[in-house]
Parts: sequence; structure tokens; C-alpha cells
Amino acid sequence: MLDGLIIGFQTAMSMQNILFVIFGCFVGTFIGMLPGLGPITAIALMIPITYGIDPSSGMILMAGVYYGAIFGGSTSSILINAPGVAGTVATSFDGYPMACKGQAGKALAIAAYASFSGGTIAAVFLLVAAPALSSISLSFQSPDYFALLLLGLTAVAAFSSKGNFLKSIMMTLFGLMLSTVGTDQASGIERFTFGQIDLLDGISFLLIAMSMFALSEALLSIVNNKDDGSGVTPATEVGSLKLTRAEIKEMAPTVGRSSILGFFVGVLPGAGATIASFLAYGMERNLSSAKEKLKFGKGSLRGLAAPETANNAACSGSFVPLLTLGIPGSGTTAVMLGALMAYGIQPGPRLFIDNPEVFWSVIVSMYIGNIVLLLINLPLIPYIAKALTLPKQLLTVLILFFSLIGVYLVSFNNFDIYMMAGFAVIAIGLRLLDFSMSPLILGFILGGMLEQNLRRSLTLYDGSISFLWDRPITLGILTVTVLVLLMPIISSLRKGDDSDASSKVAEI
Amino acid sequence: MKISKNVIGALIFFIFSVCYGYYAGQIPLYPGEEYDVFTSQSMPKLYALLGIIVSSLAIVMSVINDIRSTNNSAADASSFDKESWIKVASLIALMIYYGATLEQFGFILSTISFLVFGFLILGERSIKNLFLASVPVVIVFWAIMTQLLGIYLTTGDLWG
Repeated sequence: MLDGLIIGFQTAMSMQNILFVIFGCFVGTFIGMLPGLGPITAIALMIPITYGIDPSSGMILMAGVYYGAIFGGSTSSILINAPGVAGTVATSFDGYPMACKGQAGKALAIAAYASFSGGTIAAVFLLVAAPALSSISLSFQSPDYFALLLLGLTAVAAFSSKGNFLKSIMMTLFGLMLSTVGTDQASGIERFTFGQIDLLDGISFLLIAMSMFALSEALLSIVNNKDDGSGVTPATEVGSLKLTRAEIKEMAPTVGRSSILGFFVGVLPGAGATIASFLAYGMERNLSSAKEKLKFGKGSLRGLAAPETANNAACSGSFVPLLTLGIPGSGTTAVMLGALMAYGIQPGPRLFIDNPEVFWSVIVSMYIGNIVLLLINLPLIPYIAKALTLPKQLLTVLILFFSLIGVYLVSFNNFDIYMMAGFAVIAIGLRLLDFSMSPLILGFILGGMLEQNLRRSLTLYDGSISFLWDRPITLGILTVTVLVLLMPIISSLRKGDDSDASSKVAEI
Repeated sequence: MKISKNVIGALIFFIFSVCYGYYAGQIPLYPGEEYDVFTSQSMPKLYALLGIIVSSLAIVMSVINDIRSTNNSAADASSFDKESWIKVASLIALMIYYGATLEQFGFILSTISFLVFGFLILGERSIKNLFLASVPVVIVFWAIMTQLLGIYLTTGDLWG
């Protein structure tokens, strides 16, 4: 390992590669900040550039873009409540309310520190435990993944109150239903395409996320703004960036817990930053006292630090299956996998042997990337905030433009623009009926994987559902899932009528 | 009795689930596949069933809550700002216009017109602002994409 580390440092610390990390972080932050342009788009945009440089530098550049885009996504989540990245949806729950209270600077500073801490702690884990962790994730089978995905879906419980529990379930189901549109990957049969060729590949996540969040939020702000002058105007008052000692002390255990959780969730192929951030948010909310729970969704420091830490930790974690097993841990690392293969490099166990400089330089660049992000982002926070402080009518139309073009640049299909308009209308209707969008996104992201793993599990067990209890890992995860699902119900039953305080919602 | 938002939402989802379930049953299967434990219809049918159960439950719960709570109807009454909603509808129509013209007029012309019309819909009347917030934005974006990053942006079918 020491030899590998030395190789990694030699490669990553060259002037050229340091410049690539800085450039990647900066560009990633800028692109990620724009609603509609997330890390997948940012990395996809970088692929043509990386063809001209060596594989190590290319991967270092893309890793920098990845981190930068995740942090940039947090910035737009906090300032304009428009998460362009699924991994930063949970950030907006408490980040945006803080910005509305004039604490945008503090929220962005917490996001920067939490991202740095999560990323750095996870990078240490990755360095020390990569081989062991890859063997653990390798031992996971389809029933375990199925159980894990069910656990991910129960995270909706974290966003529901007594009155909204069924609404959250309905939205999760709606997301799951939308995920079935397109060609069934296993059988090749078309489902819900209604003869429309443009629907054969299904509906892209980016399209759903942009329509349901950025477009509907921007459009509804026109109506809301008329009433109360609030809407989704970006936080013009950044406020102080300083954190008090008490605030740091309050968040420190959260950062520690979320780093560990985020990293391990990120390691699991298919899980990634989104589930990590939702689980961390849910975990932190469940661990809070009844009084503390009231703050969630209204500007809780812990509610902001938890998903921010977890999503960056998961980014580091997602490199483990990519580099050691050749399995992408997320959509973004799937794009990176394609880029690596374009270089003629096959990620997997032999990557250590055949291209050690690629593997180790990416790991070392994570440390450098996290330092660069902190050094670039924190001083730039007031300027970033001012860049988003545009006149209302300009900002709204620009959000619409960047959302539409962000999706169009991925598919180059104008049918996607029509679909976005349609989904924006649906989202507006759902928002008017007080439905939350987050469970829909979660269901949509996990739907495909849930089906694949259930199908494989049933095939493995000859159609028997004994896979649910046959393996201890599966049974353990399912037990946790049931507990997570029942906990709010049992808790509210025990507390009776005066439990309203503990069941307030983080509504977005 | 006035129908609350919760009942309307659950009722819409119930109807949607029934329709979804109907079309799930129309998904074609390969010969003999109907005897398989898991087919392309399985998950959609399961989701439809769960959707019907959950939405039915939500309707019942919401109706009970509405009967218990006499103040609900007051909370549901919200002012309807016609002018703002016209703007929202116009912007949605503008998005469809953008989709229709992007490949016809090309990225630059189509985007400039999209931005200008969008600003006009939202009340911007200053010609200077309309120009500055659209033309330079589009040109810079186009230059970054095509000249710097080498990404093709349509020049428009109408021009060649």
C-alpha cells in the first residue's frame, strides 16, 4: 500500500495534475451551481477534454469536477432551493430555510466544512480499507441489494408527519411507477411507451428532477411572490460565514456519524450520494429529541450538516466499487467508467496491477480536491451568492433556460423539453395539493434497481420468497427496514395526541 | 361538505393507479411467460395494487379527518391570482415553443427569443435589460459549448 501511495503522490502532486484538480473543482462548482447542470452533465462535458490528456490526469480532473459539482449543487440548493443534483436534495430541506432567515452565509459555510470533513474522513477510510470494503460489497447478493433498496425507500418516513405519511407513500409509488416507463431491461419488452419512440429509453432522472424541483419551483415563485414577496428569490443577505463554538460542537457528532454512514452507503454499488444523504438526514432526525425535531425543515444545523457530509463521503465511497470491481456506485461514476474504458483501461481488481498510478493518484487527488474545494469555495461564497442575486424576472427565466438546456444537452432530443413542460405542470398541481416531491425522486431513482434485484432474487430462489430470510445480511437489513418504518408509527401511538411536536414535517 | 386538498389528491392518485394498473395488464408478454413467477407486468401490477390500497386508505382517513375538523374548509380556501397564473401558463407555453423551435431556428436564435419573451412575460420592459440579459448570455454560452468544449449545438434546419 505504501508503494502505491508513493506512486499516487508522485502522480497527483505534479504541477499539471494539481492544476487539473483546481480547474476541475472550480468548473465543477460553477456548473453544479447552475440548476439543471449536475455532476453527470459536468463530467460528461469534461470527457472530450480528457481525451487529450493521460488517463491519470483525466481521472483526477473528473474527480475534481465531481466534488465541485456536488458542492455547487449544494450552493444552488441553499440559495435558490433548486437542487440540480439528487444528492443535494436533502441539503435544501434545511439549507434554504436558513437562507430565507438571512443565514445563507452560515448555511454555505456549514456546507463547505461538512463537505470537506465528510470527503476527507471518507478518503482516509478509502485509503485504509479499500480492499476489505470491496470484498464486503462483493459478497452482497441480489436479496441483500433488494433489502437495502427497501431500506432506502423507507427513508420517506423521515419526511412524513402524521398527516403526510400516506401522501409520502403515494409519491414514492408514483416515482416507482414512473421508473417502469421504457424498455424493460431484462426482457426487452416496452412498457407504458404508448408507441412513442422517445420513451423507449425511459424518462431520465435529470428530466424528472429538473421538472419537479427547478421548473415547478421557479414557476410557482411567480404566484407565491405576488402574495408574500418570498418565493424562491435567492438569498440576497449572505450574512456572516462564522460559526460559533457551540454550533461546531453541536454538529461535530453529526459529521462523524454521517461520514461513516455516507462512506459505507457510497461503497455499495447503486446506492450513492442520494441515498446516503437521505439516510443521514433521516438518521439525524430520528436521533434528535422531540424539541430538536421541530427545527428540522426549518433551518436545523444538524439537518444541513448531515446530508452535506454524507453526500461527499458517499462520493469517495462510490469510487471503491468503480476502481476495484468495475461496478459504478452511482450515475456519475458510470459516466467515469465509460471514460476509463474509452482510455482502454478496464476497471476491476486488475487495475491495481495494470494501472496502479490511476488508482492511487485518484485516491490522493481526493485529499487535494477536498482542500482545494475548501480554499476555493469558502472565500468565494459571498461572490457566488451575489452571482445568483439577479432581478427576479431574469433569474426565473434563466432557471428555466438552464434547466431545459441542461436536460437537452444530455439527450439532444427536443421531446425531452415537451416532457419537462408536462412534468412541470404535474409538479405544480402536486405542490398545490401539498404533496412533497422528494419521495417521488427517491422512488424514481430506486425503482429500476429494486425491480432488477427482486427479479434476480426470485430467479436465484426458484420463485420462492425465502430469499427474504435465507441470508443473515438480508434478514438483518429487512429487520432494520421494518423498524425504521414502524418507529414513527409506534412513537406517535405511544405519545398520543400531544405528539404533534415530534411529527412535524420537513416540507419542501 | 367541501372536499379538502387531501381527498382531491388521494382521489386523483386512486384514478391514476387504476389507469396504471389497467395499462400494466396490457404489457405484452412472450409466449408462455404468463407462467413465470416474475414478468415485465409483475412490478407495475404490484405498484398499481399498492397505489389503489394506499390511496383508498388516504381517502377514508382524509374524509374522517374532514368530518372531525370543521375549520378545514377555511384553510383550503386560497386566493386565486389570475394575473400570476396567466404568466405561469405563458411560460409553460414558451417552453413548448422553445422545444419546437430549437432545432428549426437553431440554438442562438431560439434561445434569444425564449429569453426575451420570458423576460417580457414577467414584466421586464427595458430594451437595454432585455438585450443585455439575453444576447450576451446566449453568445457566451454558445461559445463555451461549441468553441471551448467542442459540443455541437444545433444551427437550425431552416438555415441549411
